[in-house]
Amino acid sequence: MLNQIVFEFPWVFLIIVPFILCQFFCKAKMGALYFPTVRFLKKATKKSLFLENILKYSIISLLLISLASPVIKDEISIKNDKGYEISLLVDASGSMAQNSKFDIVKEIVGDFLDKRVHDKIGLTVFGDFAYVAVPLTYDKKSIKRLLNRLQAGVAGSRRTALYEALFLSSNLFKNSHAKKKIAILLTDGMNNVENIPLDVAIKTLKKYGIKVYTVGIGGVGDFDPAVLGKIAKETGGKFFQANSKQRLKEIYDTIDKLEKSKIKANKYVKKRYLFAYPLSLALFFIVLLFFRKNRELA
Amino acid sequence: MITNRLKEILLKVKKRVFTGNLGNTLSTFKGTGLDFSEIKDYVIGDDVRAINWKSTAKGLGVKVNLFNEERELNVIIAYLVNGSINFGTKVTKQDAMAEVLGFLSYSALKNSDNLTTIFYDEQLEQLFKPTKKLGVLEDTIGYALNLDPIGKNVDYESFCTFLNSTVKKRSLIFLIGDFYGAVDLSTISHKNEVYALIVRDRFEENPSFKGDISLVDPITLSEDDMSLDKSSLKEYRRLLSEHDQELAKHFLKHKIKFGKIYSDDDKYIKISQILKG
Repeated sequence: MLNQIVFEFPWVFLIIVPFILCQFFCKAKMGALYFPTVRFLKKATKKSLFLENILKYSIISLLLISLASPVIKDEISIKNDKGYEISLLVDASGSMAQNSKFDIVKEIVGDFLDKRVHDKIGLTVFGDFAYVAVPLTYDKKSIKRLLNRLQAGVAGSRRTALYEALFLSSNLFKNSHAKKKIAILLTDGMNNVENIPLDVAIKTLKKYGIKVYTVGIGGVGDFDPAVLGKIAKETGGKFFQANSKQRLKEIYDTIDKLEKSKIKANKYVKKRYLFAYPLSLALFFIVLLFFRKNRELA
Repeated sequence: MITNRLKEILLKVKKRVFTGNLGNTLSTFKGTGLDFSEIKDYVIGDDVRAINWKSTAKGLGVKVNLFNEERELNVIIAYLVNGSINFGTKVTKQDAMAEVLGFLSYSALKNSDNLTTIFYDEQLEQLFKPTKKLGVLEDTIGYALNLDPIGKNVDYESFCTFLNSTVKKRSLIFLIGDFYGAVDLSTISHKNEVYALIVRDRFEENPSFKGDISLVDPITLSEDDMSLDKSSLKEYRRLLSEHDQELAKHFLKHKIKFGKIYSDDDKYIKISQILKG
């Protein structure tokens, strides 16, 4: 626990040097007067002076400690690396349950996640409606955990809100600064929810500059190659068809080999700021010192 | 240089001493004279002329008369110049000590005793040679008023050595100072009659400082920031009275008469009280 505590601004401790120097060289100027028995007075105030110095030094060190901002870091910082911002769109309609298609997809997507260590990945699931399961994040663990809990039919099992999913996931990139944004749409059906027209979805995708790779799985007639091809073509992506696990894996591998874009790495570090503890202790000591001084004057 | 303060002290001293009888009972030396003191047993070596035949005839052995010695006294007044005398609330201790010096000197001169005045710190600062002339008063008091004690520290050991080497005759020695240092007068006390006049200020014995204050030691000249509270002042008073008790013990052990004179006291009365014991 203790060895995980790191200081955000350790150079702040250098302030102790001018402080100590000032203790000797730039004392507060007070009117001084000659007193014959300083010798005895010094002896008499030795104890209280010692206590006061302890208070003073602990206050300054506690303040410096809190200024240096001690934190407990839970995760390693991610380096400024080349990577994608990838939104995975996974069809979770009822038809995916057939032939354990959904489990295969989950497995392959999981493998894909493992390969993209330095990428921001989001997950959108669609069925009767579409929803963003995980927004763009480096936190692969959460995505995987969520992915494992997903089942075919979580978003309704009768229909496929394909365009809505596209529209929604393009909104994920709203605040993204990545140069290249990629969405991978995986489906085994045709859009049959008419709340978002296809051209609106494509327009939004284009607006944010998202490249969409479309993957149709299943046999001929299960999905609409014309529509998927159109989406891919319009956004500059590619359309794949897969009818076996092997093929699907190849497709994801192909996508994996895409050129890399430089994204601005955010530090996704879970920090617990601890400065409040030394700060409150320092404040407590200040109050103590204040009361001591006040008592002297009383 | 005759300053107003010097004039004031001179006038005060002359008026008080002239009307008082300070100095009449200064000597406790026994010897030949007219002033009968007591009768004591004859010891071999005593002057046979002093045998009291009436007492001897009473049959309790040979008795001799003893007289207070009538001789001109050798009076030495030592003004101990310590940095700490540069302090005082109403008048400085330096000033008060000059006044004490005036009273003692004038009484001695009025009695036509031989007066030597010494100013001493680590070494001899100034020596006014033995004299019976009243004129020396102006010089000594003037010197006492105008000296700069800062940074000086009385070395009692070298002071005693100096006295022993220069003063051959038995003398009446008056020491005026605040006696804060390591006082050791054992080497001069057995030969001479020594009086220690401790001049202090009331404030330094019972300071009412509060809070943070910067104080300079007048001897070492080092500045110290102190924060004083009730308990530390209490401790200070304890340390000081401990020092004074130590001092009193030393004086009593070596038969040195001593007394404290505060800077705002009536010095004449205080000195009379101390001299009369």
